[in-house]
Amino acid sequence: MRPTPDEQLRGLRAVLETTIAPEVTAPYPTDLLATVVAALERLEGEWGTVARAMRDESAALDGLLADARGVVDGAAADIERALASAPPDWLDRDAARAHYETRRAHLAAVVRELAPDGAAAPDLWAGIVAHLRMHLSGPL
Amino acid sequence: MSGDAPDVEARLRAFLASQLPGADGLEITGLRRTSSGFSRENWPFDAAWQTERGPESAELIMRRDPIGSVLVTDRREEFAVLRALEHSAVPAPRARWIDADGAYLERPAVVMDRVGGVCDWFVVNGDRPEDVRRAFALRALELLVAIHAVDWRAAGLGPVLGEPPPGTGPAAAAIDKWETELRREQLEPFPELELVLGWLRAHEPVAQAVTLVHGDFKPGNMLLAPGGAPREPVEIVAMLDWETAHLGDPLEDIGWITNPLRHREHQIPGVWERADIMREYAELTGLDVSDADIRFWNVLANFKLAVIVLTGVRSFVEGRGDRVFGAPNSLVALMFDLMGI
Repeated sequence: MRPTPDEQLRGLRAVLETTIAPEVTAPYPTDLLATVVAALERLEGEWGTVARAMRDESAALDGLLADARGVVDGAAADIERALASAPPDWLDRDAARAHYETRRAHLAAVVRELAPDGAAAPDLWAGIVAHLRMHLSGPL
Repeated sequence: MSGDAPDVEARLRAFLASQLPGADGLEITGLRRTSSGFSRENWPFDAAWQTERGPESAELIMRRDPIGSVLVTDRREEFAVLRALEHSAVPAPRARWIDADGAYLERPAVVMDRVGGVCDWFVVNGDRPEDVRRAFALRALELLVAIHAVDWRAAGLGPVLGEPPPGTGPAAAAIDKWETELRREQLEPFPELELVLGWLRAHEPVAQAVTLVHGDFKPGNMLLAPGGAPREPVEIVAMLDWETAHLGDPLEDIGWITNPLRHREHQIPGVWERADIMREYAELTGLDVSDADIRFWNVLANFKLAVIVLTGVRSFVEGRGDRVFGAPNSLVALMFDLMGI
């Protein structure tokens, strides 16, 4: 499959930078074009890592949610249902995203219940904070 | 003239005609959209017209809501604040007319006088000598003190902007406002921001006063007198961008300008740093400026910025905005640092 998505992104960015940009003179479009070029550059580096990151992070979320079941009241039943569901086809992007976001939503509910400092479950809280820190440095 | 300027000019002509009854020969020249401003469209132009008294002209700027913005604010509030400032010690553009519901200009807009001057986001770390830059930084802080000293009750801003309850009321109101924005704009779950919200709720400071708060105080929102030798003082001609102005805890603005994210805009390493700003503000106002309170407002500042980014994300995804935003992960990481987790 040539050009690959990487090659297409790189090529499109080159067209914008070398052919289109010199012809754009008005201030607002010039500024906007720079943001588009920067976004394409970011995509080149990240898009290929998203599916794997979603799968790995979903697995980590399952671990945290399993630990949270016995600690939180409000979200326990929903978490139980989510953990019992079959993993998605990770090549199906919509299904993968739905699976991942369901887990993120449950973790959000757990955080709300344990806030502000997780005093009710210090070990779980430390695990959640470490996970969230890890998420912030990843591509998702 | 660029993009949709011809359409905007026709609309502007009709709007100005409605605001200038009896004026003849209205001319609009130089209308263009500038690249400045993420949240509003800025359209500078010149206008000339005839009245019974003779020819009149004005250098103006129209600030209009874009189709998709990173920030939802009310032009009526901005207009009211600008009108109130006309009778204060704070230099700000004179607001001329408002099209509050966008009946003429398609979307809500304010037309105000265009003030001459230059914008320099990083003036405190620019080429001027260190003592001149420090003097400017102090002058900017004095301007902030003047904003906080505006008699907003006498100016009638209470009913327009909404007066928060005393005590922890201003902090709670600020959290409520930005949580509401978050709920409206977020496209996906964000447990990191839930954690930050819990921390903010647990650390609400008690306000020592309720004042006018600018909400986006920075050199990038100031117009400076152009020219001048490097050793001459830098004069602030006008304070701009009042769209996030509200009534609240004055330390909110101190938290905004001491936000580590924006240190290059506000601080001079080794000369004018976080502790210097806090000490000077305390001396100028007599208020207690504690580390804990400022840390709360630092976190709130970044929470607000994260919500603004998420608003931009939704706007882009829904085809209303033309700027591409990524997730605000670096902002959240900074909030975690400030919270000490």
